[in-house]
Amino acid sequence: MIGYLVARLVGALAVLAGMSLIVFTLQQIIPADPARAAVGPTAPLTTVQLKRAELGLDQPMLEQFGRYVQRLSRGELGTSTRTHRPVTQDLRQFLPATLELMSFGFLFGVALAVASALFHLSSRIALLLRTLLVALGSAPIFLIGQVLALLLWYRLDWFPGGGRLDAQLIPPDGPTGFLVVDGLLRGRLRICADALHHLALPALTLALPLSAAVGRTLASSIKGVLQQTYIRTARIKGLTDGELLRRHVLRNAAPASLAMLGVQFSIMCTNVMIVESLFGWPGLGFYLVQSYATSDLPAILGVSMTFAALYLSVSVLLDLLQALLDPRVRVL
Amino acid sequence: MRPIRHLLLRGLLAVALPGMVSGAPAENVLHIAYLQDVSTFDPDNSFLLYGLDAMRVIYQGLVEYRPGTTDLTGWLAESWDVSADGLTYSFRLRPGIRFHDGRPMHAADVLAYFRRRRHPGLTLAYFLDDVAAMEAPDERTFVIRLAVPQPAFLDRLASAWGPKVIGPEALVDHLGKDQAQSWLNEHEDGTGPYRLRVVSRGQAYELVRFPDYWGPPPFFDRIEIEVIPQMAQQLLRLKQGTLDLIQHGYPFEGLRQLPPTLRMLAYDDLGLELCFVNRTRRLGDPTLLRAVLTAINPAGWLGDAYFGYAVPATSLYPRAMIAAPPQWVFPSDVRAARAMVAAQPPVTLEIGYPDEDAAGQQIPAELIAAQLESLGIHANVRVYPIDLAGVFVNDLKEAPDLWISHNYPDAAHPATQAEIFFAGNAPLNYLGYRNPSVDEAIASAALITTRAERDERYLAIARRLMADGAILPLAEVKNVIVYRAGLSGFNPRPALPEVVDFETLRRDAPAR
Amino acid sequence: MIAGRVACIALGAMTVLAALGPLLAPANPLLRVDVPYLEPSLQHWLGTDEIGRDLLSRVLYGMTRAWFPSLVIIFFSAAIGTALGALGAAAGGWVDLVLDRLSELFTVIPSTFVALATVAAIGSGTWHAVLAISLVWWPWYARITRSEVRNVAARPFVSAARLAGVRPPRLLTRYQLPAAFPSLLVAATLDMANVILMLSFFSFLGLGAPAPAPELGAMAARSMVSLTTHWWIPLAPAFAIFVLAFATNLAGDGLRTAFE
Repeated sequence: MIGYLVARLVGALAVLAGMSLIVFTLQQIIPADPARAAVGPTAPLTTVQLKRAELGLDQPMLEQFGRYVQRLSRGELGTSTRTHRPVTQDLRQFLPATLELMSFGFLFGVALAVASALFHLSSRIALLLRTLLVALGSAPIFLIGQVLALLLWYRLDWFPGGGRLDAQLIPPDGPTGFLVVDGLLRGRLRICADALHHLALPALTLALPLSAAVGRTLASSIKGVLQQTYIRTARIKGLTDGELLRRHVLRNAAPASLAMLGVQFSIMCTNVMIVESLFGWPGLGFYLVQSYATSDLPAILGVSMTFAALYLSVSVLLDLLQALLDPRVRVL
Repeated sequence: MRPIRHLLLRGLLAVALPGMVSGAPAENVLHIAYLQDVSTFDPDNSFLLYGLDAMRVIYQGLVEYRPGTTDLTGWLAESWDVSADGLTYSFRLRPGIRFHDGRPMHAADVLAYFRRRRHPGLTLAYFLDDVAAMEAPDERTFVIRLAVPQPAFLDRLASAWGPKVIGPEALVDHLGKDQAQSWLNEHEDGTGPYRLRVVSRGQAYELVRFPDYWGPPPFFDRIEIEVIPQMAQQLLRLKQGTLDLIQHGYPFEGLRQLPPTLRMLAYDDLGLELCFVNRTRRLGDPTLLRAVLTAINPAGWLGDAYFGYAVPATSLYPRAMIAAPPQWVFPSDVRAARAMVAAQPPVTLEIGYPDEDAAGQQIPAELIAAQLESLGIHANVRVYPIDLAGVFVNDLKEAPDLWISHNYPDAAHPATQAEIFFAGNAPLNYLGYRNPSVDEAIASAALITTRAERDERYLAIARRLMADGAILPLAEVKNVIVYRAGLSGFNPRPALPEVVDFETLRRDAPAR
Repeated sequence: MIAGRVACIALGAMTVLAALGPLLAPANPLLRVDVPYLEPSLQHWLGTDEIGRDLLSRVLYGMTRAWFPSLVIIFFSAAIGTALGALGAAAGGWVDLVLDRLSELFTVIPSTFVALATVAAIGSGTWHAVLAISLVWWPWYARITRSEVRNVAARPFVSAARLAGVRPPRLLTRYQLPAAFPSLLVAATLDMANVILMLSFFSFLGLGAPAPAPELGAMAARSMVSLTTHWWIPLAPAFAIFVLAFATNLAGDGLRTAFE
């Protein structure tokens, strides 16, 4: 087990290394001039040249890569040409918002997926539910966001449509950066409630496609498992439905769903860009869209690495879970 | 207009939470939004449009424009003198001015600031290019000596991007090795009626009233600024009442049916919608260009783009800068144009526009593309990041055939239009038009002091550019502020793009 | 079996409809037909967009532009993925490890960066996006192929063949791959919807064909500001994407049921 874990971690590090190389190469291909972007279109050529020297853009490729790797190992990701602050500082500011949004989106998604998979067992609504899930999984993320915003915000006013917190409230300087958690930890329940209220629509938008895909996979896996002979054996032995579910069904139905969960998480990493923009959520996705608009290379590359690291961590965790549930997987 | 449920909830919370209901008078708070983040709060480094209104009430310059006009008036300077040879400017500074850090402002501080502005690493240093010497002979006098006469100099000082005095907390306490640039990203030390508080970079900023301001106190105690990049969101918030105004970008077709709680104020500014032409490729052919001009003719699409809030431009200068009869007539024979196109091999043109204010340029650019399509010319429309636009000035390899943009000069003097867009070495000469005789004309026109002669010289330059097919006038679009009823005192100034005067803005009716 | 037949017919019908899109459209999607922001009427079934072009025509053309490039992506990535996955599973050892890590690397890079590379290196556009997506899409097929091939390898009939002396390459092509084929087909059909959605995502971000081309994602993005006033302008193209993806998903589901 430990060996498996170590192997996965080493593999993940190798992937990150490859990622950094790709990210650096991208930096070289792109014709936009980061120095020009930093000083603006009206600055004279001398100012641009000063900036180029400052950013080290005239040095040979190998030297630039060397400096890049050096800085990366120290955790330095350069300075954003748009906000003029270190990218790591921007990350520290915007990452918690995205993590909070994605966590809740993930949780809602998994909960909805399990719920829908279990509802599948009742054959009466199974067909309707199945069609509904297929429909959800077929909708582009911006359609889901648009419809939810139009209905639940604009028309019904049940949920707020922008930001993390009501403009009148002051967010706690909390330990985690998650407003819901920090609100709870600090005993400020109003913050916690308001944050949840603001999270509802964007998290739901992220959750729906995930729940549709994972729900269908889970439902079909469960169906597959229930048809196996050992289930019949277990029933004959006298296991109740609940024990059956816990001991056999979920464990065996899980692997395919965990794989799908991994894929859906990677999709969520890209969906979060659109969802954050649609709902004015001040997170990394929103930051990334703004960075693209201004060709802010250091920021774009720094955020790419962050998302890559995030996905890798989740991927390793899911693989671990899979290994725990299915001993056969560990033999790799 | 909030549902009853919300009112009840607010009432309950107001009662339940102590401190919210107290004897203190309610604060006057204004809520506004920006479509893009402010790049920096350093007045010598900021070239984008967002944040100019905040900048105006944090920092102040020597002179400024009077509201609604292009006439100059004193700001930090209560009066000034210009020598007969036009080389020496003496400013008499107002007494009793304090910086936000508490220290008083004297001429020596102004001198220190102007010296900092000239530092070559700063984006806006070029404003003071012709300055030969500066001095502060006494506490209230500041003198600038130019190397060559510059009739546009005072206008440059009044520009939205002009020099604005920064105080010692930046220039002395935090000067550092980078001239305080990094400190000024998030802090300020100005003389204006409001102080800046960066609540959350990229998301929210706050302007708080400065109690020791030298002028009359502004109405609002606090101004909350949020970065809301989606106009759709801003519209919703404005209609709901959580946003007080939208300074720019309200969809023109939406102005026809404003909800009863909203009002609008339309005014002319120095913005000009122009079309730059790349003569080095397909459009070097004069017959094709003539056909294309028929499609670009604003008469064919202006109404559908701006719903009555724009008029065709008369020259390459806005009317608030030079008022003149139309200097250019577009060809309008559509049938001839179609025949011209049909006689040629198939053409595809590239139309480009900048990403700053992309929302505003998208519709005119696509309308022009549709017009070209009806002639039989296919056109692609793309957005370009602003730094790529800077590349095209010198290197036209990847440049589009047509460039549509909404342009603002630095100030109200025509020199600031010509030197930025028309000259050979102009930073925003988007498609690299080069003509040495035009450059000569621009240089000599900059020295004229009589208004009539000056205007005629600049108009002649414009006529040359239009006849060459290099730059074409499209439209003058009104800037429209949409706001919640009860607000007044916007005091817009044509030379300050999209700037609402927070110093004079007030609310006459209760907020909700 | 009925489900399978229905699925195939549905897919065929979608292809034909997508091909006919341009013929069914009442107007040229690039020309102005009337004033902008007209509400849906008998004259213009979906009204006009913000430029005054017929929205129905643009949506129909857009569906064509969404369908065929997606098919191409599926073919490319399935071809590459199956080949690499089978190779890895059959060869085993370090070849398998390298290929597995390689496919993992490609799944790690969120496609947005391929997008950046595309825009930067070869310019944006529909076919550039197709190329870029195909390059990142194959790992899904590689993994399915690899896992199916290995699953099948444990099955009795394959062990029997191996004992009987059938060589590995033949084992692969004659026994393992054909057994994997049904899963791959179902995956490809289901994936079609994902590809349509990914292509619309690129288009939404502005990385597809440039304006004024009637690409559904781009149309939705560009008209977002009209969401509260003329909601059909941004919603119609988004809904069209949904219809395409939904139909494909139902077809894929039907296919999957048929094979179960």
